[in-house]
Amino acid sequence: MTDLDRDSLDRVLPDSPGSADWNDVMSRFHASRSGARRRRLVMLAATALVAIVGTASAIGGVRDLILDRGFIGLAPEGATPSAPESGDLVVHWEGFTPALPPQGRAKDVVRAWVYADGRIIWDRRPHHAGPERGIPKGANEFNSGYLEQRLTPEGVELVRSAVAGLFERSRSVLETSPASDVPLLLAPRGRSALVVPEDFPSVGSMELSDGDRLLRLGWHTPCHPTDLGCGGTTATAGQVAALRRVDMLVTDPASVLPSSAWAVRAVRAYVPSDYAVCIDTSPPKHVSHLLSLLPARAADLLRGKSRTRLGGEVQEAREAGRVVVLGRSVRYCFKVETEQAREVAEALSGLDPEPGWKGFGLAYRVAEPVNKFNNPTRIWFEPYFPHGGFTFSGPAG
Amino acid sequence: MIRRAGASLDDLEELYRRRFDVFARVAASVTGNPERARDAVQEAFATALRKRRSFRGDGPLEAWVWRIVLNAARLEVRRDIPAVDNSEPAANGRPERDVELRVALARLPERQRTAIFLRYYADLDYAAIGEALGIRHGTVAATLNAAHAALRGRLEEVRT
Repeated sequence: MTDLDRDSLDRVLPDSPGSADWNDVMSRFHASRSGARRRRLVMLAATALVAIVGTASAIGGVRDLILDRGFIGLAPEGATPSAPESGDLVVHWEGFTPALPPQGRAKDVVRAWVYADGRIIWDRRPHHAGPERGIPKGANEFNSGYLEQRLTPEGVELVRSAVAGLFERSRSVLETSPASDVPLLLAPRGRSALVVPEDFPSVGSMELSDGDRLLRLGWHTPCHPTDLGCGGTTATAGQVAALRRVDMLVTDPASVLPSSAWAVRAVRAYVPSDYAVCIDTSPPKHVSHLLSLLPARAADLLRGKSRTRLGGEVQEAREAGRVVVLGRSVRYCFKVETEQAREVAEALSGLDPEPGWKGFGLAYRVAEPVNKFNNPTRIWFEPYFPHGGFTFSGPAG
Repeated sequence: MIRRAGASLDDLEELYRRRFDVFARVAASVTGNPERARDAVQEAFATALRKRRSFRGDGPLEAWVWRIVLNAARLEVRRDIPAVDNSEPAANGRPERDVELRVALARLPERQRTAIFLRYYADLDYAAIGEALGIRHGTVAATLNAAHAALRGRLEEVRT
């Protein structure tokens, strides 16, 4: 027998992390409800605004400000947000993929989100920094910024069914997780991944919405057994062919989707309605401590906002695939509307820009690391996507 | 019996107050960190309050809440390497055997480990475990059998 009585398990479980606090639960509940109510009001206001714009346009007056290039950081003032504000995620894709011609074997990082309402939001950036790399309508040499096109229902179904077909062939290596706003790992390794031939064009992972959960599939080229997390299941010829089809549909849809799949083929910048203002540090500190490090105006604007907490580890890869955990980190992301994000950015403008983020995002250095095993404290802005999630736009993303 | 759709605020509060400790400690077996487990439980109950009208009453309310709590706990570790708890064993009980059991449990796949805690620590029946883990009744039995076999193997390995 295996000693599985309640007393044994009671002794091996971590101690209780404190006492129950129902008031805290209720305050989190009310915070999220007020956020939802505010979103509904914004939607009503946006509907009214569209009506006004439509009328004014008819007499040659006010026009929507549509951006045909990506941008970095916060949207330019007056830019028209993507509509509707919310949408159901169908497919999410992140991976390394060949750079657009004429860049030969260079790889870009491409991320794409496909929504049931037809929106396909994506960005593309060279894995290695360099001169202009053929990024369409790029915001700068590093980054296309987040861009948006629209598919017809037929187009969405073409993408979804291609991904679903691949997932159906790959059930044994799928992972599931709740639908969430946590960025997924780029290019995962490990047992739950397909190992594709060396010459396969991409390495990455994708998620397919399945009710209130996400199904996830990763793939990578063969690795050395001593590589970090090396493992996986060798892909069959059918899986490779299906993955190749999905890769093309998501990373270069303009070249493979028929005209009937496109509602709006023209590229425009994705303009969010909300931003996540994220602050991270290591070792972990309480959110109130991190807020106290900010200029008072910025802290006042963020305090009490709905927030997401992400825990992590500061790791260092060593020889033979060993990973050494140097310490723990924490990230808090506060949800704010665009105008509030502008106010926060203005309040932070006296801080130094975060080194290495130029061309990737609007970020500031809040405090230096306390020693070589820790990370600095930094704060930055991420756009919210229609499904209510956000990603990481920094240079390591 | 008439099944009631939706959960009341009072029901959720009563469940929270009565079972907070169990939720938090099992969640800690997922997060590897008690503080993050506590945060997951707090967030999970806030989510349960928001979604309480979607509770269909097909099974026990507690099983439905367990699913939300476990999802919240997994979110806390999604970007982490799952932690193995190497802390010192509790002073009471049988320290050496506790360490063996703790290490053996930590090496189980997350689903098997969680199923063990739900069955033998939280005292859930198979149907409730299935609801909490989002798996079928038969899969619960298979999961627990596999967990038992793995634990037996590892504990015997340590003791020989």
